[in-house]
Amino acid sequence: MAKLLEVSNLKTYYFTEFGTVKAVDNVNLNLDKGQCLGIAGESGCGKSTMALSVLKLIKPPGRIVDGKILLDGTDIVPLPPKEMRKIRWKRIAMVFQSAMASLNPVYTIEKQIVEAILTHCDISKEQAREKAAELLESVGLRRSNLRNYPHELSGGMRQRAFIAMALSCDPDLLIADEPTTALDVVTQAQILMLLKDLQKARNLAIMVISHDLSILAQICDYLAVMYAGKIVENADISTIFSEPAHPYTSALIAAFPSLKGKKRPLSILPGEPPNLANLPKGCAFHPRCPKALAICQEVEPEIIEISSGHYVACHLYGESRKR
Amino acid sequence: MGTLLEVVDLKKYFPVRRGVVGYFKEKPRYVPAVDDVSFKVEEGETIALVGESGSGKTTLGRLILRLIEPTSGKILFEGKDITSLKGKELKDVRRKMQIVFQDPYAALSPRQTVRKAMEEPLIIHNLYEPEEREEIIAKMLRAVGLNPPEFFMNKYPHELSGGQRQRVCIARALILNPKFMVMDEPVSLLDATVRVQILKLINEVKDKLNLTYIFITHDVALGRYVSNKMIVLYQGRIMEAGDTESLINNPMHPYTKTLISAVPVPDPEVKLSIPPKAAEIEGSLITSEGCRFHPRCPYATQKCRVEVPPLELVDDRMVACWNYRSVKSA
Repeated sequence: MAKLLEVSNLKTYYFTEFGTVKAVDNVNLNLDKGQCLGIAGESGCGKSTMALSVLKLIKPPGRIVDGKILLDGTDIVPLPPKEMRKIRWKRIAMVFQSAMASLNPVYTIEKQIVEAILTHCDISKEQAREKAAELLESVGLRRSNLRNYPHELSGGMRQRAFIAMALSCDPDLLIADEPTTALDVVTQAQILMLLKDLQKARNLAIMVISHDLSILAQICDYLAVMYAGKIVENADISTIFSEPAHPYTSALIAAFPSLKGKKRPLSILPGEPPNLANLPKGCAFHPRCPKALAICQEVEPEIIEISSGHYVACHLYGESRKR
Repeated sequence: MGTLLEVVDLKKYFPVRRGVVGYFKEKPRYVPAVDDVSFKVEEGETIALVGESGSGKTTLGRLILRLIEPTSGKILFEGKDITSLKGKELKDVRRKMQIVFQDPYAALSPRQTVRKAMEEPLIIHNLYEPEEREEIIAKMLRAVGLNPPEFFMNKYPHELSGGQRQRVCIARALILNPKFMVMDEPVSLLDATVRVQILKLINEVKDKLNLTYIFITHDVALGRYVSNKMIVLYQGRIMEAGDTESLINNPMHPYTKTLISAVPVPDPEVKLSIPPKAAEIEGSLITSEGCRFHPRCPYATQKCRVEVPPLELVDDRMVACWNYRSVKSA
């Protein structure tokens, strides 16, 4: 499969008065065309910074300090803002958590989508209008919704309209940051199914960021679990759920209640996610880890491949275990 | 064991007026946030109130605590009608009924230390001697896992994490030694691993202090973990109510079915599938006639559009649906 996005050794730090916050620290990720990659983690683990880094939307005091982001083989990190603007929306588009906040309340849906198309694509206004109508239909809305203002639509319809807008320049990659968090459960299920359909129909690569593993389980092909700015485990979705290797991944999976099958007890992980400006020495997870070894307090584990395509950053595996 | 709380034909209609002119000229229209709701809560139970936003679950919780006044209906607590209690009598009942809110960031005053926040209810209800209070507060903080209490007492809310703040809110509610608590989405804003800790705490204090809960949540899967009975609300009406496990494994009402099928399962092997037509409806104003759910219901018949189905006892369940038999067999 063709590689679309390759993130290597990416470091995005925020330089604050309380110290350097290493929100994304040495992250490696790959995403093939037409695949859906999930990024899971709790608040403050750096998953949103990760998404914004790929779009190069990090604002001061934050900065991409090091690393490469290859889009179809071209590194976009050194690109000047003008070049970057051609990539955003046309190649990489983004959907945010709150569609209400992302849509402009004083313009109709049509005006906003047409504006996005005209800014980035070289077509006539008439063609853009027609395209906007087709886009709305492709996300399950009606042509007549073009005339609506955002407040006239329900939460789910707004999110659909925003997805239509994100797709207006036929991007290769869609980044969705908590796309369903503000929605009701039935609406959420519909938006998830819509994203899955769009992925197949348009051969669209999607990067979904969420704290909710049950959502990611439903739509992702691959999953990367982040903790304290680092990826601790990365594998295809069924491996993550059937053979989670990192103790944090197992704990996270066991923390989600399920409606299917017998009621199993939820497992308790003590403590809270660490402060990124003041990380513990060694593995950042060791103070909460039920399987912590002596080495975990001293040495930070490297991410290694424990089986084909299954990457884990934990001393329980690989070389350091034999030591 | 006996009935601790009983709600009879409770209604709350909120007026809606359009714009400033409408405020003076139009006759108000009403949104039935809670409409003809009746149920009983036995001592020691946890009842989960589940439903989507706008189902009236929070309004119902607040009505029970008399934080807002009902349009009509009755609330009985320990056999006594508390619907129109005032002054000292109401204050005495309120001591026994407490609430934990969704947002621990908003529920604590940013200008009060933990000690102050915890002391206030004791002052209001004139409990314990002032010199004893410190010890009671320390005991409560320890009970909710904030150890050592001296460390937390002088903290302001902004110095605490979300999980710690919710622990303070729970401790503050418990300090009056209540019998009954309304938990209004107490964990929905917390991170996954912290959420489980707070759920465990909520269950522990329930057993230790012999409490009765109403647990309000939009998450059916979460409701399953905390409750023994479940009430499913839709636009202010009870659609279905019964034993939690039985209701989840064998839902009878089409809305319950839709709701359950839409909950994502943390397992990539089990894929989502929701019935067609379950879509939210445009400008979903509440239907005035017939069953509230009929515009979204795949089983709706002519009768559903005209007549409101009564809440009937079917097997072990209360169901408000004309067609529950065809739903069950589907």
